[in-house]
Amino acid sequence: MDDRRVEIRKAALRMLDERDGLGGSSPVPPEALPFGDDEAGRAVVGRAMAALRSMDGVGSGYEGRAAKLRGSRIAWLAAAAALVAVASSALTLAFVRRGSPAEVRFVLEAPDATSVWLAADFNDWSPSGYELEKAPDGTWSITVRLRRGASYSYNFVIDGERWVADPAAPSGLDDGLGGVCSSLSL
Amino acid sequence: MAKRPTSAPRFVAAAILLAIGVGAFAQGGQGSGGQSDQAAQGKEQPDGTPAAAASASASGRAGADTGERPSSEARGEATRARAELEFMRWLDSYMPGGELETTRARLREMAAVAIEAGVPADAIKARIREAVAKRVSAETMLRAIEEDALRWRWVARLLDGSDWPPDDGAAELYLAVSTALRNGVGEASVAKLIIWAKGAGADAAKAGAALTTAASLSMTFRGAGAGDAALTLLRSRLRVRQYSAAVELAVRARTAGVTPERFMEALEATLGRGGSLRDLERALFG
Repeated sequence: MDDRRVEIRKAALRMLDERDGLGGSSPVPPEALPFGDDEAGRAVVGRAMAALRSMDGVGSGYEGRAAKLRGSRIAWLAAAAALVAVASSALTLAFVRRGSPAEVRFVLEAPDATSVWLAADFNDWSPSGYELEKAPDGTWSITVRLRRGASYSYNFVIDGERWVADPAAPSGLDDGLGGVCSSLSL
Repeated sequence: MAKRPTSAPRFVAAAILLAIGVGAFAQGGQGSGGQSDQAAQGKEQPDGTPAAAASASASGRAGADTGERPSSEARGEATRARAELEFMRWLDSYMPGGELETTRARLREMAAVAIEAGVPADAIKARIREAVAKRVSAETMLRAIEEDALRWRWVARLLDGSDWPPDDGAAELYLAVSTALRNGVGEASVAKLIIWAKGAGADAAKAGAALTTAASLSMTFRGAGAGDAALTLLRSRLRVRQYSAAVELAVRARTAGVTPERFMEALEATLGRGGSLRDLERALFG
């Protein structure tokens, strides 16, 4: 880079020398200014520019600036692409998460029960296949995978005949059939 | 040369728009509400009518003028007739036995009228299954389903042949409406929610969950009603899974002596204005 600057400097000095008639093979009349609008001036400028163009790396100043701009543009594009990737990933994740089932654990304390089943709208109120397991402390539980984004109504069925609402649920709902059920939002 | 750096923010803006577009497409596929659900819920007109509602009703009128309606009505009739036939077959297989003939006949009558009105047969089936599972008497079953059928026909009239809710979420919504009405939520509140949700094309499952939660809020305050809690919840930033937490706050509020009116006011002033559950908690308990 320093060599290029030196070369440029030399070329500029040659150009000034030519303008002042101090060097070169064809002295220039003093009135012929290098940037003047006469033929001699244009010739000096033409030679100087030709010398500058012929030198290696002379254009590097412009190229450097262009490269810088290209780099900046690439950086912006990369940033935009990254932003799109992150945003669409987040949205896809939310989309998938929303459609994915949630694992819900239903628990009932009923130490004296011999069996507890879960009957709900998500199993058509048919407890078959939804029997809770008893723990040594007398609690019964079952984990069920349910779709997110909806609410569900359910009951526990104790010993095959007692339909009870979940005592741990904040409130019960009149089921219109003379009983109370619980609801859950996921 | 100087324009290039300034074009970079345009790239970023375009990228953001693209990302939003992709997201909207994905959400649309799901049926929305989501909370970004909320993003799909449409903008309101100055009079409070959702934009999509205005557009839907306008297209309905256009259909009538251009003669499209009769063919769509014919299709609707055919669909209902098929649903009715399938329901009758299902009922005969689900409740076989001579001793149930009277009950079956009554259920057939009720179902025929309801399905004709646009009530999804799956909602009726669900209630029959529940009643049979709970081994209630035939009389209790018939009374309950008759009451529900009346409510559902009212909903069908409100929806007026609309494409909303989509078939796969319709039964859930109808069941949620009857649960809400049975548990103290007012007809006017339910109607507001349905009209808004229909216009905004809201997620039917979410609308149903909002109704069920409003029913729970009402029952938390011993059937005192829930004001417009269902609509407030549906339009709020809350996700469905957070609805239960709102009911838990209502239980705490009741225990602390907060009146149902005060609770509903706080709900509207917080969740109704884009606030969070924490804001509601602060409004209730300081």
